[in-house]
Amino acid sequence: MSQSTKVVIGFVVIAVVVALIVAIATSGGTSDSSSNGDAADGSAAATVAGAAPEVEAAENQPVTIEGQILDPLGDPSRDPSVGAPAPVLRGYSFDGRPVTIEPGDGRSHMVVFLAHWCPHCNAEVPRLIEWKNMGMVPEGLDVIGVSTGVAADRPNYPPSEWVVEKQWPWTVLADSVTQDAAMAYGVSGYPFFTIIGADGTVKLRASGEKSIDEIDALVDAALAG
Amino acid sequence: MDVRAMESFTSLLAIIAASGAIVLVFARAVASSWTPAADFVRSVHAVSSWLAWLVAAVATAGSLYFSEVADYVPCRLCWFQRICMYPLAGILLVGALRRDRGVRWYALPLLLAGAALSSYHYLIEWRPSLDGGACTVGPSCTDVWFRSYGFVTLAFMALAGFVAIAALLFVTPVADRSDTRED
Repeated sequence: MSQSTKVVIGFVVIAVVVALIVAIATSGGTSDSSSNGDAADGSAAATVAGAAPEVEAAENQPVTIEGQILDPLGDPSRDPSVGAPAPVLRGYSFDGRPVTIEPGDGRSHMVVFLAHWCPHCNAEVPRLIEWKNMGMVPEGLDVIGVSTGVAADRPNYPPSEWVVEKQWPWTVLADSVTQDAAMAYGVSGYPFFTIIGADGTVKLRASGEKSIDEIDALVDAALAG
Repeated sequence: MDVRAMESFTSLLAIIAASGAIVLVFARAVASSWTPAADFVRSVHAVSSWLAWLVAAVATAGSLYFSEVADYVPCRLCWFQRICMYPLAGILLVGALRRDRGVRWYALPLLLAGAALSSYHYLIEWRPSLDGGACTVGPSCTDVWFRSYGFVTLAFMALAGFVAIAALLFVTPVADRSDTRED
């Protein structure tokens, strides 16, 4: 082995040792890690009017499902769940107040499933808010958010603070740890939209970011059909 | 060593690997007209098979640490990159033991695929909207577990590994085109 090759090997060894020392010495604050590690309950209250809290505040809440659950969404253009009765979801907000999604109550609903860590949800929420501020939400349509896929070690945790920070203006139902609400509606990705007619049947399901025009067009088409 | 320290350590190794690859390629480019560069390339070439294996082995071990110890759940793209990197640890070890320079051609498809996948993965970490507009239920490939020094993520580390291995295997001294065994 030539002298210069030994120098190369020596440099590699020194570089690795220096990297190790630097990493140990600076491990307190060099990376933007998403490991929050603090699964604290009792976070900020959601803006839910009405009944007093029935359960303790938490990022995940129990959810009761009534009715037939929907199959996971495949091809949105051939969704077999369109026309099927949407399941009833009985749950709670982050602060423990009861929240119910009751299709067939005479009003249309748009249920929006959101994950706090999802960059597409983070992009979508301001668009939905702008859609509302532009007065484009149809009369008689109730919008409700479902916080699901909660993960303490991912960005923007806790979701109870995330929805406040994002200024989400509608009611939020906190999904269970096992994502029962998401499974009941066949959520296949985030964000996930389900539009339910006043008759309680599924009019449309869609996943992914949407522009304001796309949201408006989807809602109009769904409620007209 | 805690997880945060391991993130920093592996990030620094990735930076060293990527920098080393760039230096090696540059040295080869000027080797014809600059003797020290030619000497450097020859020196690295003498141990490049073992260095390439070392990069693959460390990348494999690091990947397993983050999923099995730190509990960072691999997404779909992470699994594809693992499919490209893990076999390299075995292939390159055999190549280094046999002193078979031709092993680089067996590694090449894995290197190309792995580099392409990790490049795409790194891109969508910065531009999630390029990834189809929706997060998958389960681990999302646009989700960043950590970003050290402002730019080093797990996808970057994988990319640095593939690039470093490729540079070590394919950058040869001037006038050396032999793929035969050295014994």
